[in-house]
Amino acid sequence: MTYRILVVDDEPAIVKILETFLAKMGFEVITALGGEKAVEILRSDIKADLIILDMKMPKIKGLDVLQEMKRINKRIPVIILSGSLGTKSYRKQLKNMGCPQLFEYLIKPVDLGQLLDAIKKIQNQNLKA
Amino acid sequence: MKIANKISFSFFVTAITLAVSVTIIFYHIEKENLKTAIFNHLATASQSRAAHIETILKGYKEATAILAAGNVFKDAVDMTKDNNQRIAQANRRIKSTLQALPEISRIRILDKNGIVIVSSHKDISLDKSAEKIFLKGREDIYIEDIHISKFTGNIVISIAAPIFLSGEFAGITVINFNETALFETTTNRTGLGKTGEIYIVNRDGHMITPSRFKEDTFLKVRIDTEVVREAFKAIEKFGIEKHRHNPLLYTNYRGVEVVGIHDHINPMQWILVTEIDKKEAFAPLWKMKNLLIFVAIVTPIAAWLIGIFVGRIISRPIHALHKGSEVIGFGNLDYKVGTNAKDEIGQLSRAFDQMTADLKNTVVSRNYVDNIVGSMTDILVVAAPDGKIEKTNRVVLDVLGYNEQELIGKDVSLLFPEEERAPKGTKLGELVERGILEDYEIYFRAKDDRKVPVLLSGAVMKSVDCPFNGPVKDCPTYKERGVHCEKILGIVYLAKDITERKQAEKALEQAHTNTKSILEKTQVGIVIVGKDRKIRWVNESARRMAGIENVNVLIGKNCGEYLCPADQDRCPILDENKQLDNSERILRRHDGKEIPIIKTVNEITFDNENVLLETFIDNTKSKQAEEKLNQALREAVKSHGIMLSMLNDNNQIREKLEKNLKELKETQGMLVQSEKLASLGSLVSDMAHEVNNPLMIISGNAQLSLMEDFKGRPHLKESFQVIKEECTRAKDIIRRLLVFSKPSKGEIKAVDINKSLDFVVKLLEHQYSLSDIKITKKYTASLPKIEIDEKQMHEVFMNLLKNSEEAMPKGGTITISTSKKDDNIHINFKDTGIGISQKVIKKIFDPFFTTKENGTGLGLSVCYGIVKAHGGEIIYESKMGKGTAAVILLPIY
Repeated sequence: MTYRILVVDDEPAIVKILETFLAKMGFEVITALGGEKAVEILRSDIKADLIILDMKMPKIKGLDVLQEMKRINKRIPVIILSGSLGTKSYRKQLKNMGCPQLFEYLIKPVDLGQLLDAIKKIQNQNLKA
Repeated sequence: MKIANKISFSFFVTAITLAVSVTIIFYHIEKENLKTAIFNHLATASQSRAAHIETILKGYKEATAILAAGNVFKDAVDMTKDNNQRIAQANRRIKSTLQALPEISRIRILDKNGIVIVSSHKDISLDKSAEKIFLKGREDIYIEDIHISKFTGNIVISIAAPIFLSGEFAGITVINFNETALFETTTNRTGLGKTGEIYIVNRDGHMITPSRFKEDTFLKVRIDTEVVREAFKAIEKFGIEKHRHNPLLYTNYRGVEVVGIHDHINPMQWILVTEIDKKEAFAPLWKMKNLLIFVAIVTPIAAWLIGIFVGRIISRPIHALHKGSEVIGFGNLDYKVGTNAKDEIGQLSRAFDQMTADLKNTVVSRNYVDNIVGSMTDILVVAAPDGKIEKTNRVVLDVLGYNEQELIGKDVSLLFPEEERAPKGTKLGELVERGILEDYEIYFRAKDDRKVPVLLSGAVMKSVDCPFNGPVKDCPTYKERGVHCEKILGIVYLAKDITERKQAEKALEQAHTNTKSILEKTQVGIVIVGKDRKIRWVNESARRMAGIENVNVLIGKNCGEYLCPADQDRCPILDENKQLDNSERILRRHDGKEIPIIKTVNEITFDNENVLLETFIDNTKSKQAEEKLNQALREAVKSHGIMLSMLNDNNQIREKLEKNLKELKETQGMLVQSEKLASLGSLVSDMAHEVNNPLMIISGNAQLSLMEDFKGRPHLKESFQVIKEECTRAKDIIRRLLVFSKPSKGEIKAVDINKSLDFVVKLLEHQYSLSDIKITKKYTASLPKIEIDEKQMHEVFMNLLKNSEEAMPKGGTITISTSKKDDNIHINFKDTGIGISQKVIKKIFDPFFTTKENGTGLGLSVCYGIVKAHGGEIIYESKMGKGTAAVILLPIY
């Protein structure tokens, strides 16, 4: 079964890019434009193997999405796309939250090559686990 | 003619004269002597030979006579005697005689008829009665001249002697003597040298003895020379008597010039001639002649040379003297010519030196004087006692316009203005009286009638002219006047042109006046107070402020009484060592009134004394304005809610206000800064995030495109590559931006600063090696650890280092040094970059201020914020072209 990736971002163009890229790479892509939609999908039965999550979104932010995930106990590995600020604060926060799943952190604008590496890494680790 | 030549010439002439005359005289004397000697010698030789021959002949005669008178011979002619017996006896006698006397060659006895009756040879019965020898021999002994015997062919001398029997002629004996003895005598060459000879000439003039040089001359050579002729003449004159006669010089039978003398050999009247070649005889004379000539030539030459030598020796000192006199004539009185020679010239030279020494003492050479006079820069005039100028110098031309020559002979009063012409009572009169005048200011009259100010000195030249010939104390003039016979030689004037000096004086005075009026009139009050607190000088403004018009009232008074409110021992300058520089002070007048002033005090040297210069201005108006401001501030402060409780003490309030104001301003500044930062922070943060997305879109699209095949359009591919890369760069910038805007709250822990620095340096090491930048570390070991947010500090270090790197595009050195000073740690980043100008340094920490083309201008303001948050400081120092030093100070709590 093909690996399914959920792409979450409030910027349609970015979603489009990621979608195009991941499709080219042979993944199955589901998209969520904004945090609200993401939560919706998560709450549904739609299965995802990986989430690529933009943190800085209006209204329902990336963190909120993660919180929701925790609440409904959906342990899906997440690749976090953060703004240039860096990932440290997010790491801390997530640690505090006690999210169990695997996380990778990438900073926008993302190098697609790095993105692919991150996905592969998670895939491998998942296998091990 | 030079002495040397004279001497040599006289030597030469003398020598020649002497030599020549001496040699001539000598020669002649010698010649005569020689001649006499030769003559004597010849005469002696001749005489002795002649005498000898005479003796021989005499002997022969006697021998004949003896025989003739002998019994044997008598018997021989005695017819009465036995014939055989008397003949045998006679033969016996003849034989023995012949044996005994080898010079007899034949003996014969002839009878009275002249017939040979007895003979040693075979000639008996020979009739000689007709011959001379019988005829002459009959009477007396007869010597027949030498001749060649017809019988034997030998040379003989026949001597015949008659034999008498009882008184009657009975016969003769004839004895032939040979020539041996005769010839021996004449041929004996002793004393005759090489060319001398003796020969005998008979009555006929024939040579009858052998010649030394010719053969076979017997009776064959006729001698008819002068000597012989003379001899014959003598015989005629004097007969057989010997007389005095001298040798002669003549040409002999050989044709040779000879010296010869004759002597007579008497019985025969032979002439003995003794001759020597003239040449040989006078040979010594020739030798002598040559020697004398040689001497006569050499001696003068030698004399001439000696003369030259002597002449030189003599003339040398004279030359020296000559040269010396020239040198001395030029003025060099130190030149010495003296020699140690004991002769007159030596004495003269020493006397010469003595003279120059004396001269030197008494007289100064003209050159010397001229040099002195010529070097002077002041006017020199020497006047005779009658006032006429005798000498002056070049300076008169420059200063007064006269040529030296123009003044000589003129009266010296020509130079002085009317009023100064030396009557008694003026300075010049004084000069004449006292003999000296010093530094008198006067005017000289120039040629063009200008008055030239000069400084005049003069002296009267005196010399002693005492007719009294004795010690000074006994001179009547001296005893009378107390002054020794002075004679005034003249007056020397020395005048220094002081035109310039006068002008300078005038200018100085003017300047002085100007300064004085400035100082007086300036609005600034000026007071000079000595360290003894006494007022030295007060200007008009100060007096006005002090309320006292009269300057004399203030001078000498204590400053505390009239000007300064400070207590006697509380002077801020003198007692408390403070500096007053534009300081707000109070002037307290004598009447107690107080005026606010702004005062500055400096230490200066005034009249060679270290004093205090106080300058102050009236600050009343300013103070009033300030008071108003204070008031307003107070209100303002009130409205800010600050309570003022110190209204009583104006000063205190004001000071506190000032302080508060200062602090307020600072805080305001900081607040503004922080606010700016804060607002900026959120703004930037939002914007950054906003930008992220577009960047992502651009980058993502580019990356997607890059996954396409560009089918031989590499430039397109390149373009997308570039897009991707630039987006990455933009991402980096944004990141840094966000770091600034939201400084992450990092951990604070105790950190070793050196280790921290090393960490950062290590990160950048590789980069630096590529860009040819060298890092030099000068860490102070064992620095105390400080509590810092290390991550933030890394940011700061990185930023500073990056800036340094960017300032050295062609490479360079960054020196990082750490040290502890007081309560702070100093971290110094020094680079050798292009430096920062003063203008830029002021704005260096301002946000958004950048000198880089692509800079955001946020780096340093971030650093500033971080360091300040740590309670520290960043200080920048830079010199354009040299480099920059950034120092971070961090407190060690």
